[in-house]
Amino acid sequence: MTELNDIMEVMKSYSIIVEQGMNERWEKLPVELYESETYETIGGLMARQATLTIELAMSPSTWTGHIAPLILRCMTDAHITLAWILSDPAERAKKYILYGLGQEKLQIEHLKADADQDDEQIQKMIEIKESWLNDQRRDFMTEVNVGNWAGLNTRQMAIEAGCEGLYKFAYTPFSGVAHNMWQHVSIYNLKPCINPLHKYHKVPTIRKAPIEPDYVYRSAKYIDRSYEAIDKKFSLNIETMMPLAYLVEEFNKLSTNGNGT
Amino acid sequence: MAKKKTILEDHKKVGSKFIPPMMQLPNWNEISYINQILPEIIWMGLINDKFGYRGGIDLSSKIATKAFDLRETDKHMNFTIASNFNLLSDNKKSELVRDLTESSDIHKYRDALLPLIALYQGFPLSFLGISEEIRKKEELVAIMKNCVEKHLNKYETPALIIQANVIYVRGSTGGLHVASHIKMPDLNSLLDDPESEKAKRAGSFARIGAMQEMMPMGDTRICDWAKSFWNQSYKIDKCDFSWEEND
Repeated sequence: MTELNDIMEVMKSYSIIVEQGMNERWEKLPVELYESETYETIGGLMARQATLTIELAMSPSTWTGHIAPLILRCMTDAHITLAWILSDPAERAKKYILYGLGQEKLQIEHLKADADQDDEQIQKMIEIKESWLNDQRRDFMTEVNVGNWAGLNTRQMAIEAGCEGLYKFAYTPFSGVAHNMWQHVSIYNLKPCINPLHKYHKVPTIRKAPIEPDYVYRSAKYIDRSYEAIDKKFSLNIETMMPLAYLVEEFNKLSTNGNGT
Repeated sequence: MAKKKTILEDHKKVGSKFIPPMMQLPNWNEISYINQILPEIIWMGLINDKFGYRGGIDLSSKIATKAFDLRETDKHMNFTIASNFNLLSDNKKSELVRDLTESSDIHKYRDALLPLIALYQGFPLSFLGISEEIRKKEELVAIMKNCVEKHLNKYETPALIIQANVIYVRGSTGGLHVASHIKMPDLNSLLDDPESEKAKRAGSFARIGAMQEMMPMGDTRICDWAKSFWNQSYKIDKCDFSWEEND
């Protein structure tokens, strides 16, 4: 129990470092309000990464092979998106936003067509969504794109953004978890019966997966990569310690004190 | 500088798929040893377990050869494949039983095959009749379980012996045609010197032979018995998760 308490103290301070790093970057970002959507996109994706790593760090029950890869998949995806946008921020941020607006418009159309029109809550939801959409771009001017938002698939985006390794060794394996593919399900949701008459078949199980703080370490690597990409693009000089270095330092202290896992 | 290895370079790209070399062969049919072949030949495993390899091979070959002689077609048939006994008429089956009774071997088959005859509906050799030996169901299940476990790995000696018997019987009944320049592997090496290079070659030959026996040649191979065997096996015994106790 003490060990987990000690680890959670580190996670709390780690979360503060992540947030401080995000705030400092936003303050130092040379925001040009004429292109506010560019900076909203970059800032939003940066905050998304920070949120995901903080939520993961603060929820030890999610540090398992069942849940953590879902968050890490999302983080690798967010990093590839951010890194690709940073190569041509004005043009690509616009694409990113317009695609999102189109998706929302499509969702509203589905609700109007298929949902129970007498349901007041549905009507209210449609109103809210339309208002959100029209505040940004009138719906009659919003295109709906049912392909890839960037005109590229994630692998192509990763190659263009110089993060093919991240795509191959993190995004792809984590995608297996996110999409509930066999390589994950067979290990985490099935257990072998060792009766030879049953051909050593597998049966469903809700497996107790070990809790591994290493997943937070990995998420720290991804927030670091996103912070570094922003720092490099805008030549930012950041004083707040990088999340990964901070986490490693604190874990080393725990190990030295004999309290670490 | 060494050339960086390209991944999947021996594969062929077809649309978004990379096809491995083996799957590029024309008319490729995938046969599963465990799913399709084992249920057809496991009866020889029970005989081997009861009478040892030499005695078992003699008994399996004997009944398969007798059945071959009784077949009512000009087509070659290999009766090491259990389902092929279904192709004998009732009269021919009775004749086979009579023949084995006269040679006093019938009880050997009945005793060895008792687990399959007593526990499984539709076992193609059930016509041989049931053993007079009284056995509890649990005992029969244990024998069957042990036999399946021993023969589940197609590369291990027990499984290689029954696969070799498939090709041996095909040969002894005149159904094996090998080009003159090909030296036949020594199947006895599987028993006499199982770790030798000769045995490895014989094992490989046996596995291919058993697989070819199951390949549909123009006809569709019927998997009724194989399906039935596994589905019934699932019902006759419970799942085993004893490994969890030590996990």
